[in-house]
Amino acid sequence: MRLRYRTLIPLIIFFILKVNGQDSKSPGIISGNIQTIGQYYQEDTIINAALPEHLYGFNGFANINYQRGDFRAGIRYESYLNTLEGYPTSFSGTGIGYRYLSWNNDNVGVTIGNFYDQFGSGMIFRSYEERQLGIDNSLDGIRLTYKPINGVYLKGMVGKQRHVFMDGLVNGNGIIRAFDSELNFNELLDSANSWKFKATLGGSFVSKFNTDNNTSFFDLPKNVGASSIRLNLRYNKIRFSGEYVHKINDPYPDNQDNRFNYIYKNGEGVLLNLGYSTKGFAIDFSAKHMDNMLWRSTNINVGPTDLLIGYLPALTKQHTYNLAATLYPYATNFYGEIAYQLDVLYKIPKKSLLGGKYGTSVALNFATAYVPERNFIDDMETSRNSYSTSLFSRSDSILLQDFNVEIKRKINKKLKLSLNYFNFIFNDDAVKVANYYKMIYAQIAVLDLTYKINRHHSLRFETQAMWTNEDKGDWLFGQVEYTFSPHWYIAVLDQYNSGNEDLKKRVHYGLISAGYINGSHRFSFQYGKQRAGVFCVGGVCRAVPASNGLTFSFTSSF
Amino acid sequence: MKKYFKYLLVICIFSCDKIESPLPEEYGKFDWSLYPGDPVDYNYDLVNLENNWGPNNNPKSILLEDYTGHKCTNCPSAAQIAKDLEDDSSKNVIVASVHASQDGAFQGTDNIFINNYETEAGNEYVRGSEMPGFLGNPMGTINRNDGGLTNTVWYFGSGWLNGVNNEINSAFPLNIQLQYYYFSQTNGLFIHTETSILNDLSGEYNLVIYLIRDDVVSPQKFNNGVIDTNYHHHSILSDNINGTWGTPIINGAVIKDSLIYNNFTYELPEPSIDSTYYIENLSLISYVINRDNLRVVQVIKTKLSN
Repeated sequence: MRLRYRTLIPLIIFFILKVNGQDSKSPGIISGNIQTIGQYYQEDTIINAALPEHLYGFNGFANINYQRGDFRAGIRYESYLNTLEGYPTSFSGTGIGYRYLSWNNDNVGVTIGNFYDQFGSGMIFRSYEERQLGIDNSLDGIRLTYKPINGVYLKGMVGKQRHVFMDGLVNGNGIIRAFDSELNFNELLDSANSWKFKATLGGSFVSKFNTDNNTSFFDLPKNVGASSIRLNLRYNKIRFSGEYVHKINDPYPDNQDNRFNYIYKNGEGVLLNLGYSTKGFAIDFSAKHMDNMLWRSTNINVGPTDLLIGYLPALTKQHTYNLAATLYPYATNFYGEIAYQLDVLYKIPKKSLLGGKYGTSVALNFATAYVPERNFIDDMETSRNSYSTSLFSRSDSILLQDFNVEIKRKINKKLKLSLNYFNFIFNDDAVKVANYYKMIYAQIAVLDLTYKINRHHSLRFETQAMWTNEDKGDWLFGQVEYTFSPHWYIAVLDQYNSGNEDLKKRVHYGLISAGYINGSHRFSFQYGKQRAGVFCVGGVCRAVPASNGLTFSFTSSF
Repeated sequence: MKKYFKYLLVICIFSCDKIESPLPEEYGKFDWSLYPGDPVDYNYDLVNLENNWGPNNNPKSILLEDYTGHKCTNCPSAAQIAKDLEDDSSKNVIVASVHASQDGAFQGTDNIFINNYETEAGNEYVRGSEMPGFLGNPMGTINRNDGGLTNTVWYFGSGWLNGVNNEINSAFPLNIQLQYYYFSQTNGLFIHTETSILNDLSGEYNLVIYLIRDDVVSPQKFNNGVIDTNYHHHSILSDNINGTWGTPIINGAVIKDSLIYNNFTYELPEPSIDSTYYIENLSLISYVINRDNLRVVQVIKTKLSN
């Protein structure tokens, strides 16, 4: 269904009528932001950068919000003219992609139109936007929130998910019905408010109705439900959170592996986190069991990030340095995984032997993920559960191991140093982000130096090196960035595939970028080559094709 | 507000379909109880299926479904158009007369019109949601293509000739051949098909088999209330051997020269009770549809005999 001005106009009229009934002395507040990126493409056969026939790609959006008293309303205008290369082509055209109206009073909240929300960790329900990935699964419908007494929070919603953008919002056919409740014991019991022990208990139920798939091979469920329970505890410096989710039969077609094709096995997931933090030291341990928890509002084949109801969190660190972030980033395995992560942060005290004059921060991170132990059963002609699993029972098949350490130290008043080391074991046969489809063993070292010339001028050097005998071999990366605050910066960088076995592919990917910042406005451009890679956020990934050309971007808010 | 939340909670909790048997009921399932002897002696090689078959020389044919009714006064003239098209050997048209209407109109029985020729499948085709646009008898489909009235599958009789001509050169991605064994002791009909893929193909395709009575003498109403009690009803759809929408045979991609084998059994009505089910008066119409758009991609007709 395409929703444009036809639906917006009654919303605005309704909104104006409601607002006029409010305090007429307050004109309300208008706020918003805009972000635009345009890229002029050049053909580059060396790096396989294609030249699209439209030559110029443009993605832009602007949010405009209005608030007056308890009422809020807003729209987002989006333009993809033409969609930037690598961005999902399901985003195209220009129009309104998001509109909402909401009000809150007397412990009751109402939202109509589009909204984002999340229950617990999001495994059972997460409606969110990740613009860089081209993900927007906002719910379009009605949401009610209600706080009957202190400490009790109820939330219910019914709606359809945004699927694609074609000159406007286009929803999927599936209908989502969702309910969440949360009990905050400390708020519930007045006397418990001052306790060091804090506890909340939550429960959710989400169901979908969908008839997209009319296969005659299988009797498909039209209504599929999932439920979850979660607990958060905190005592002084120790905190614990746990969540269990369960989903009933929810078969999907799978053309890759017949063992997962239209299986009727229940899905389940467990996410546990235990942490301790004090001044100068923090430790955090997470564990995850996830099996058959792909959870979409459609039961036909769609794009990997389309119409997802639940979010499958990745237990890995979100890397920011170029080689570590874009060559072998981890994408959550939809079939399931057993994963663990340990984070340790320690600040070596200043004026100590190891800490130096200003102290030294050390961050260790270890993450690993395995394929669950699956006992396949011969029932594809009967109940089609396909296999059985046990909680946290893992196989020997590793998906990922990521060990990394970061050391940050201020050498003196002018010089700051950051050293990073990464060690990856990456099963590309399962994760499939590098198109290598075998195990990859890689190590990366990063040296990041910032030299403060004076109060307004600073210079940053960054150099990275990756060593691997697999895939495309070794890489080198270097960057120099000069900042003259508060307005300007310029940077030059180069990536070089120094270890590629094919000498013709030992290519330099040079790039120059510069920007001007003035308050909340930022204008930047970059020119050069960008290699093909993968961009991931939170275990959700998008392939980025190679490109060569000139890119402009502008962001602003008011 | 509390009330709304209660309603929402109730809706959520009961919004689940737990499926215990994912595979749909299999019509025409192979049933040895209809074989009068020891299955070991059965003539068809059920292990090396390809050994049972020679080359498939069946021509590309066109299925014309004539949706009719014995009290429909305009139906005989439409039936004649269908018969004429079938008799034109250059067109390879195969006719199935489907006695069906949306509300039972023209199908009723009384002292004169004793027999009801409706079938569950025929009624589903005109009443269900998958083939919308049926206006009333007589209408027909030509390979269930969407060239009919307002781009539906439904043609008036006046459009059947053009519809057939337009269909003659349509795609011919697969072919079907059929063998059967009939056992009068049990009225058991054992059916075997071989579907050969002529071009690479992808999608979801079903094989449907109609049981046809070739000629049934029974009353038919004409204009001005005239009833011909000796009317020869031609090629009446009498049952679907393997269900309304048939048996899924392709799901996904299949490559050229692939062969797909299917086996069915069916217990024919007792001919001593209803002589129109005498084996020599029966045929099978077998066709393959693209399950997404219902388009018939090939159809064959097999005359049965003892």
